[in-house]
Amino acid sequence: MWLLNCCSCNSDRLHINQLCASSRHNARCASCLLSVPPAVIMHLMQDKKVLKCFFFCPLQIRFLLLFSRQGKVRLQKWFTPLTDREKKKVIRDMIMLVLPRPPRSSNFLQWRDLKIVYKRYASLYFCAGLEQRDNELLALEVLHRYVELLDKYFGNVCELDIIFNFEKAYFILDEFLMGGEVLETSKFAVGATMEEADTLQETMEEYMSKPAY
Amino acid sequence: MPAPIRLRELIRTIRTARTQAEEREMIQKECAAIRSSFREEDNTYRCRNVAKLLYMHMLGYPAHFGQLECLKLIASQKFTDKRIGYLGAMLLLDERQDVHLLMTNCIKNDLNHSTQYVQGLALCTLGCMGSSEMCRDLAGEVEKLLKTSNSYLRKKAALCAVHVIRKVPELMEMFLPATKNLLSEKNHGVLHTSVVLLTEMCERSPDMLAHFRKLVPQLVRILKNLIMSGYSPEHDVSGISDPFLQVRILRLLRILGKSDDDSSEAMNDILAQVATNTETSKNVGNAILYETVLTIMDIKSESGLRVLAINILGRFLLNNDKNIRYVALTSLLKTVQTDHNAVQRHRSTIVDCLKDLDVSIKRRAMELSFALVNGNNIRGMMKELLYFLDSCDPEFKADCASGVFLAAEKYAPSKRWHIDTIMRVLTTAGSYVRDDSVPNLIQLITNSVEMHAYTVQRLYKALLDDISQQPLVQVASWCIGEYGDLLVSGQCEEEEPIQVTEDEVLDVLEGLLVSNLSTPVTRGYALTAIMKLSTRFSSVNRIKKVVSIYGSSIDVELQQRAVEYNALFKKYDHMRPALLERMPIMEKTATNGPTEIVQTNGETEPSVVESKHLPPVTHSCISQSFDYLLLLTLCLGIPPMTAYNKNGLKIDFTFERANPNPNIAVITIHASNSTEADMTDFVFQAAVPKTFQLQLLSPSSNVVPALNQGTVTQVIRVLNPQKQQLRMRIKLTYTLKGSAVQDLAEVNNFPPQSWQ
Repeated sequence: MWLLNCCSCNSDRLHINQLCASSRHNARCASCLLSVPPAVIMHLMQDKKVLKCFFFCPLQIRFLLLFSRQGKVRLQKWFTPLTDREKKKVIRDMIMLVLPRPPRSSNFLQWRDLKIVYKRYASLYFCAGLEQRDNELLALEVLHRYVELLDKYFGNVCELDIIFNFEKAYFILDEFLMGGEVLETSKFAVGATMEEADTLQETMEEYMSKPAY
Repeated sequence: MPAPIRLRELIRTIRTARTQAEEREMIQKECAAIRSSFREEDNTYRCRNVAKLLYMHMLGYPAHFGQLECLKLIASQKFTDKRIGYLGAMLLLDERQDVHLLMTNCIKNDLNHSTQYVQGLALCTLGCMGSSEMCRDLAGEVEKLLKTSNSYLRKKAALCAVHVIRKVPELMEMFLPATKNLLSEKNHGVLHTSVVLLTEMCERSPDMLAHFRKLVPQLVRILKNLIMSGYSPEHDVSGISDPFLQVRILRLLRILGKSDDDSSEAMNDILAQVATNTETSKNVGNAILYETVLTIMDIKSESGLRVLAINILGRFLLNNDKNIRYVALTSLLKTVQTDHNAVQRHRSTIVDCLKDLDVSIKRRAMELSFALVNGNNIRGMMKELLYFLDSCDPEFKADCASGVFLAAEKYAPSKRWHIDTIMRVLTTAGSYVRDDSVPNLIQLITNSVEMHAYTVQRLYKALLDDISQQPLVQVASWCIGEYGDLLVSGQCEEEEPIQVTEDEVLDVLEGLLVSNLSTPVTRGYALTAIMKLSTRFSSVNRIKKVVSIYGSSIDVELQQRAVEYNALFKKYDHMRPALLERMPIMEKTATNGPTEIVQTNGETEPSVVESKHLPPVTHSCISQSFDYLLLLTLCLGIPPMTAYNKNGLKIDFTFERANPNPNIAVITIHASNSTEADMTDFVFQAAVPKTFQLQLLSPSSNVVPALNQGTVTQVIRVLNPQKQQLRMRIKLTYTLKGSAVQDLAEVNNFPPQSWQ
């Protein structure tokens, strides 16, 4: 119904339909998939200039994907709400962009309005999508730190560890990143947290005997 | 009912599947088992089943029937359940799902749980994917946790608050009191997330920005400690202490110092220190340097610091690491507007990057090179860029060609250079240029009068080499048509004139007509060019033959042209020289856009862009009145008619379609006088039936010269909303040889197209 300027990617393709305008739904920018909550939409509708200084853009990291050389996804973390179809499209595009790159090329590329940072560790590709204004070199460090955390936890991690213990990989990620930002910068803290949390996990007898609700 | 198989067991089984179909079969079987287990409300194995479901979801299979089960797991007392439940919620229950809101109560309870890891799970889930309603409901809890002394919870609460603010910006005020002593924390995790929270608040609200400016000294101090502190095994990355925190502080300093002199002043020292002391051998050091450079460029730093920053970027350009070169090119692109001179110093390095093997680097280098082109370096830069155009991948050619054209237009040192450059682009990347490059080049050539001979010679030579690049062929055939006489007479001054005969030229043009490589548009150009040469060359018969052959071409466009040119030869041979003479210098319309709308007499009409079909009518042929009408016919499509022809006075009507309103017929009357004496006081009046409306504009004159020496024209506008057959009654009054003459007539023979 209305098309407003999305200041994340500066395209004029922020679609506001009736639902959005009546504060019941988020609006989405067709270019960069930015999701705009209803509260901000009301400001946008009143004063388009407000958009620039008031609501600029959200996340550091939009998504984090791990996939193998055969294109099988081993982990997917999304920091923006996307539909299943959109997620599949992003995964497909990433695999298509990253896998054919020659081994000595740079680890950065441009996709739509995002910077894509990827690094290959053994048989797995770690791929993150960043905002335009983000520091790619630091993103490489983020990916590297995550690999180190996995390595510390699993002891010489390999792809099979991540396949068979995917839930642990997610737990570790959730202790390291939250909402697209780095949560903990200490190398030891994440490992320590995981150990303690693991002890909280009940043994089979405890589990069976404990009441559910 | 046997216990459902374990997660690892399932994973192992699925991995043994050899085909996609086999895998799908296994998954479907397991899904069915899981579904029945869910239906039985089995508490014991719910966790295991959901974990299996999540695995299958990751493989790409639908798992929505597990959404409610995740909710049940979250509500459970057991930590194992909660852990898997929250994971499932984050994977399956994003804010688009209907049941998303049902989580709110569970999360609220868990935020107040006695175990910090449960609280942590709740905060994490809320902070990763909480919807705005959920954020609104639970913001209070988050704010409470932000003030706790438990650093584990505090850091999570801070990032959760960031998410809440992103979703519901009005709630920002609520978190303000809790930020009071966030920066006095020792724990790096809390410090880092606090800086993120402060950054978010400052970027969203100018008031917050002003409020937090007072934190600049504290931030500078923290940064200093990080740099000066000794080795800390916990936070060290290749000799640098906590690079993540350093970068975040630099970014916050950037925002705080952006338009503020005092803050910028306060951070000058620390920025200089970071810029000079950071170890650059590893990626992590360069990451910090990069952020420092961005900060220096954004705040109101002193000029020495800015030069330092650009030099750092220049050093990056020489680094072996591709990533760093890429990052340098990207930042230089951002700074080239503001610090143009400083970036110019690194021009040669940037141009070298055009030869890099990496695609991303090449693209950045190309964009930056175009940004650096100016009047002084145009020749050198263009050489490099043309060389790049020759050897680059097809994905770059279109952008590069456009860039070259733009740069050449702005900074061309001479017309010859400009034409040479465009020709070079057309020969190397002809199929990738924009559509409007052909008319632009033609216009450029027409306007460089002294270069005509040189241009046509070069284009002719290019045609001899290669006729596959359509834009080049089109421009070349147009030029040969226009300036073929210069080509044959060997008048070129700029370079050695070549010996070319008329037949050779016609051979080339005819070759274009028959070649499979030529598109229909190109063929049109070629035919018109041949036609034009009929007035410049002497071998008219050959041209006549070619033109008549194409009168029966299958291509309608070509056929029409040939037929019209044939008509020029046969019936209107006396007009041919005038029609086909040299084109005048053209007025330039917009560079990029198509036609411009020009206001004339309150009406809008599209301005005349050069017609590719026939040259525009020049004044020399309007004097030949009657046949002018035929020419207009060729242009416009509605045949003219004779409305009145008596006693030496002949009135012809011609029709136009220029008006956007299809119900209005615009008729121009042409009155001519074949008697020996002038007709003076000539007045033309017209009346139409009731269903029409008529508007008569003023005549060109009221003297119709004798012996057809001129015409009087007058415009009639007839509104015909009901699209009825046009009829008109006209009254003519004039004075001939002293006596007044008056006549009435009915005009009924309007052609159907004029009123349909």
